[in-house]
Amino acid sequence: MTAILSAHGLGRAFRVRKGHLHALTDVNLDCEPGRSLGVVGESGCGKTTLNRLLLLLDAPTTGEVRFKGKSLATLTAPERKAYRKSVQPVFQNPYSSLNPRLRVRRIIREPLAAATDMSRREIDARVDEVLEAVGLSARDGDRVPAEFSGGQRQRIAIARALASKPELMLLDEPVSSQDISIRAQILNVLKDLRAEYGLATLFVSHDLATVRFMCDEVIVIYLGRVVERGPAAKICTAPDHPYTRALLAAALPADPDAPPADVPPRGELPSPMNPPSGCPYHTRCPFSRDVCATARPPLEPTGDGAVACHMTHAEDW
Amino acid sequence: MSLLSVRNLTVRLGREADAPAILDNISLDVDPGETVGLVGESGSGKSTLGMSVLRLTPPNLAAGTTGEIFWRGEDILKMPAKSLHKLRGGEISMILQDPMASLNPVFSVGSQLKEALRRAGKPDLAKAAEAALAEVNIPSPAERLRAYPHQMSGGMRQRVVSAIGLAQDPALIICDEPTTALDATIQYQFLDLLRELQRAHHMAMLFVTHDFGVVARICDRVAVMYAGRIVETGPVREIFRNPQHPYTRALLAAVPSTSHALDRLPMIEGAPPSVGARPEGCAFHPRCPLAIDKCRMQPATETLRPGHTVACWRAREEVA
Repeated sequence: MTAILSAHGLGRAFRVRKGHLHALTDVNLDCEPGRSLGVVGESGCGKTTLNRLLLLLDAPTTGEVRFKGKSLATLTAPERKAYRKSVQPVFQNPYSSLNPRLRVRRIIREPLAAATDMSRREIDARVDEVLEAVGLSARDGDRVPAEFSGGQRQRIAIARALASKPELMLLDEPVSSQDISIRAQILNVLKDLRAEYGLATLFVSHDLATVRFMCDEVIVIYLGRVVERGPAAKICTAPDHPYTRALLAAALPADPDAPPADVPPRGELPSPMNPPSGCPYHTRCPFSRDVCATARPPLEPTGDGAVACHMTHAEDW
Repeated sequence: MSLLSVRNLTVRLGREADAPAILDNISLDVDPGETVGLVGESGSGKSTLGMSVLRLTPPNLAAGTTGEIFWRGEDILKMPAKSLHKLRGGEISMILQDPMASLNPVFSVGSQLKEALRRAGKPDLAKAAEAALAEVNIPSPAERLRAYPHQMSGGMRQRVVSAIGLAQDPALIICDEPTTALDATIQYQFLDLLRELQRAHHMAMLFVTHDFGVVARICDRVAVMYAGRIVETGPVREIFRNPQHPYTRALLAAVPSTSHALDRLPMIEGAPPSVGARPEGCAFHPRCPLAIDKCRMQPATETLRPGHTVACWRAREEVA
């Protein structure tokens, strides 16, 4: 299947006082129609930089992002407009992503009016349609964000993203600021919409349990590099990379009798200004050996995914 | 005797008897050395309860506070200012969600830690401060004493806050979502540290959280809160294995898991009511799948078995 959006050797380095900060290095990914790709990692791993690159809010320093095979860097102005219509974001915090002074109808209508040549009447009909698709009513369009709860606001943000009939939604931690009961509502809405419209989604999250529920495939990022990729079922139950295993141990199950973690997380994220030599994870890895500090393991294919770890090669590790 | 015993605590938004209640008739006990979790969604009143214990609520809430909070038999709500001042940070200390807000950005970590140790009457402050940082597993403690909060990571700052909280060897530590701002791998390590410290100091903990994973990992007993009331309490295993209140059941069911993939998450329709607009009777009844007419009246809190209480008309029916 052809990817709607794909990243090839994507990297972003920022110039800082003492050299370069590599926020993202050599990331490859594909977003395919109807599929959901999860991006997992701790704060500071480069998730936000990735999102910004995919939203045309920033430009990569190496590699490229292709939209239906065409590099984003070469898009003409009308093509960029079409891109923005096809790739829509939903952000983490619906308190800051909705203009508090506009009525909901206008919040949803404005990007539609900018990105499409729909008539006023068509736009109004579409606004009603998307409000209903996320479980609100057309009447809610005449209210302002302050009249809604956090969960309802996130539905409005989803409705806005949905309005231009996108092919891909970029979801950046869309439920992490929500309460448990609201979280379940939002996740179900997103899943239904995906099935109904055949949407591709890129789901950025730090929570493996949510990723398991939402995603087909997952990439795990550590210090800007992909350290493991694979089907969600594998990543969330039996991952190969010690970092993914630590993340899994840290996703505390709601079960007081859960067995203790086999690889408990330890240490803190090293400074991305001064990343460790060799494998970026070796400073926190309980299995680390000499080779890990000197040579960076490449991301190599396994059965149904890929992993960047020396341990996968040595029988006697 | 319980260390802390909250009896019929009601906190209203102001002195008037008909002012909306943030907390409604709360009773809760904490025994020495045990960890009690307060779990609920935002607006359930769990933080207000934590704050009320040390009378740290804003003046309008303090004016609307009725009931009793016994600390070793003495009512905190009637305590003279001097004893209260000694209690705060002394026998009862707190760890809050955002360590950057708990620490003063213009003083070094060492000077803030020493301030607390001085209150505890430690003789050699420099040495005591170094030992205190070492106890919370901060690497090279002697150097870190000179650091300022902004020079440390979130996890390290929260460790400093714990070291300050432990300075006077408290018997109870109130933790209000102390790991919510931390990454999962850092949260894991911080919870481990809290458990170690608790054992070493034989402290009780009142742990406010919205995360059932955290509850399962750290708590001995749990109180589930909804709209200002405790709807269910019990030993942690009992609450997870045998929840009786429909709200507890629904919340537990709505938590996604890494171990199996569901097609849909079971969910609770609607949203928790705001303080001014709480429904009559059981506040959960408009969202409850089991609601009947009777639920428009407030159910009494019944003891199902020792230690396990629930406030629900239907729960008792099912047991009977």
